[in-house]
Amino acid sequence: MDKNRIHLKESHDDVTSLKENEQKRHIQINDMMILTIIYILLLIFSLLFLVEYSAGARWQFSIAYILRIVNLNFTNLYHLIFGMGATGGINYQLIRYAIVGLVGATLAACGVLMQGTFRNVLASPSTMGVQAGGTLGNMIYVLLFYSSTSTVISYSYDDISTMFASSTFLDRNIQQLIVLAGCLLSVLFVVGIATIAGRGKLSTSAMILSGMVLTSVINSICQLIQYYIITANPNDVRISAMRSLSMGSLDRSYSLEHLISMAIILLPCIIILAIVSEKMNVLAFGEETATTMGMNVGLYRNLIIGVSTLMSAVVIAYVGQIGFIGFMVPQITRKLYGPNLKKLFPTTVLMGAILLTVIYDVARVLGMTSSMNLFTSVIGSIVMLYTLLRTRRS
Amino acid sequence: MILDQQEIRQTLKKDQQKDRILFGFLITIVILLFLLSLCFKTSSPGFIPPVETFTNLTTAFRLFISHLFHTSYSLNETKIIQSLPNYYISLTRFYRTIIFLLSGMAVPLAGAIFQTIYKNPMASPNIIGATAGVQLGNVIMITIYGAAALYMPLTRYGYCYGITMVIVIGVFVLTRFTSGSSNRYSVLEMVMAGSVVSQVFQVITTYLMYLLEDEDLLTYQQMNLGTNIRTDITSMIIFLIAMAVSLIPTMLIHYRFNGAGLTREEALMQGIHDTRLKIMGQICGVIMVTTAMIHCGDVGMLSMAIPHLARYFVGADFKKVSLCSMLMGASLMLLCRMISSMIYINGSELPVSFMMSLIVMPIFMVVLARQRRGFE
Repeated sequence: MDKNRIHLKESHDDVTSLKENEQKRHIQINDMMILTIIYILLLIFSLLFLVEYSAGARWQFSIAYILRIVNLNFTNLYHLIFGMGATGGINYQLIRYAIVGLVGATLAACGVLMQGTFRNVLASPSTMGVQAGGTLGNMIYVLLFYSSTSTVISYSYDDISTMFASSTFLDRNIQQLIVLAGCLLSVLFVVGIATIAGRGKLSTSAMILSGMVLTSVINSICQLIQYYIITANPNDVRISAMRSLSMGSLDRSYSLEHLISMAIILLPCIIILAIVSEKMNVLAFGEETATTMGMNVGLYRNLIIGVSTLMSAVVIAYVGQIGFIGFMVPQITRKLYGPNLKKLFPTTVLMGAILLTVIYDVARVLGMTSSMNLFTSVIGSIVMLYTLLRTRRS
Repeated sequence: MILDQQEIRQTLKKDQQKDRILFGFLITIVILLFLLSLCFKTSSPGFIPPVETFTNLTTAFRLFISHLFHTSYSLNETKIIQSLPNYYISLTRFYRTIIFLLSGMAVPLAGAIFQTIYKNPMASPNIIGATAGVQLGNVIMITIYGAAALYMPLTRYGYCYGITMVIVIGVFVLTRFTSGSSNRYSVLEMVMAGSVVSQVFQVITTYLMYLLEDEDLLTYQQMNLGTNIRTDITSMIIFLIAMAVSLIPTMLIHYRFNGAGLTREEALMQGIHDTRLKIMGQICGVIMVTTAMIHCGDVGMLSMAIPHLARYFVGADFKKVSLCSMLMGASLMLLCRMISSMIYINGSELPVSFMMSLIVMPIFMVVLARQRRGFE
């Protein structure tokens, strides 16, 4: 009798725990739904009401403007949404916002998994010299393909369209490709040095330290080249082109091609990270425990480092450097949803998209979309101070 | 047993002889390079013969003494100076050589201190954000004062030292918080905190640079790369004071500095107050590197590579390593300065900091590859 009772009680416990699990899953789905709804509302809000504060182009791209001036018939609406001449319609704004969301999601995903693997809040791909390689690649591009003097040539609309039609993908994306190659090569270089220094074993601190050294060397080379360009001609256009990468500009004219070529690389990477992230919870117990529990720590760590390096390299190539998103977003989501990576990862990805969209909107209103890095860094440092004060109080 | 002791004595003697030969060699090299760089430079008058340089400098010294004690020698000062055509040039050369000599000594010493404290081959004050502070200070100076910033050394030093202090304190606080309850600073966390904090400051620097006009940008680059080295009396005095404040205490306690590498219990057992040593060493090291960086451009690479080279020759004893790396650093710095003054691109000299990183980078790579111990 006693045994049976105990057995019954155990099964009862199992049932309740199962129910709790189901409830939890519901809550998780609800959280995701809420975040998605917030993101969509945010997108609609920004498309409807936000204005472009540049001379002459005020209101030009917001839906409010379009609804006011156009007598609505379907052909007009079609033209407005899918391109009206060179300036483009709402679809260009949509593409821009999609890129912003993608970048935010990517950076947040990288950040949360790098922090998980290194078990340090400050870890990010930029500590390994990705960004320095990007700077070097951009400099090489500017030196090879840029003319030193700016010439104003007025093209007609037909000229531009024929030029665009005759150019290939390589012509249009040569800068991005060179920057991407620079990023990846520099990371390979850093990994190579770290393996040589670790006698065949890849140690993380050696990697980070050699990344720092590479960054300082590349920065000094860039400074020197800029110095000589300025001494030769103070009004050189190439200087601002060299500096533009480090400020994270979302100000370029993005087309559907940009979005697709980013998404082809980034979306599969995010999916890979999502698959891996469920297993990374084990690593919170420490490396040895994870190894005894049957996890190949080195493999997962290298996979995560490689994938997130590739992702941040793509972001650097197309947008430039945007810091602190990968630091900030996991901090916020960890406060809201707890440390379980299974739940944390998707919410972090969505939250990254939301946060970068908000920051981009603020930057648009202030007219500073060409220096996003400044915004994110200032906000990020404030968040960092806040978290520090919180930990101190507790 | 007796034989063994004799053998030990003999080997000790041999070691001492080796060290003596090495140090003598290094000291002669430093002195030779010092004298050479007094006379030698490619810019306008070119090579000034040693005798003339000597007379110029002794005249300057005599004038100084006579000003001090009101003797009659300084009454016809203008005539004396007019009779010596290269008087001011050799004086500025003397000042510059002293700046390079002292900062070449200080930077590797700071690196050796940090490496001993953190027991890590690549710890240096450069990593925890000394560079970012100086750069931000320079940019702020130029955004406020424009090209006049080159002629306002006092304000500039205030900004640079102040911002570097803020950054270093920020890095230490951040490391303290991220490393959790344990009081020891781990190097990895230090590096990460340093990179994050200096990233914030570098973004501000880049943004301010973005707003600068082109001529101001040129001034900024000159300041930052150290092609424009101030040799007026105020900046010389400040340089000497900063070097004295940091170098003299370090040299006074450098006999005990091996204790800083011990663990806490070992140090307490031997009666060494290791915390005080560590804090003092770090403060002095940051001051040294900041001063060197303000006065001769970005030379932080020196602090990483030279102590390893010194350790390769004299072993791990801090007494010997500090002396040897100081001498090596000074000679390398003077050599770099001489080489870079010979290379002209676009009508201006190659900055010393660039020449430095060109020479030091291969040494550093070799050191990294030959590392016996792993990093963790």
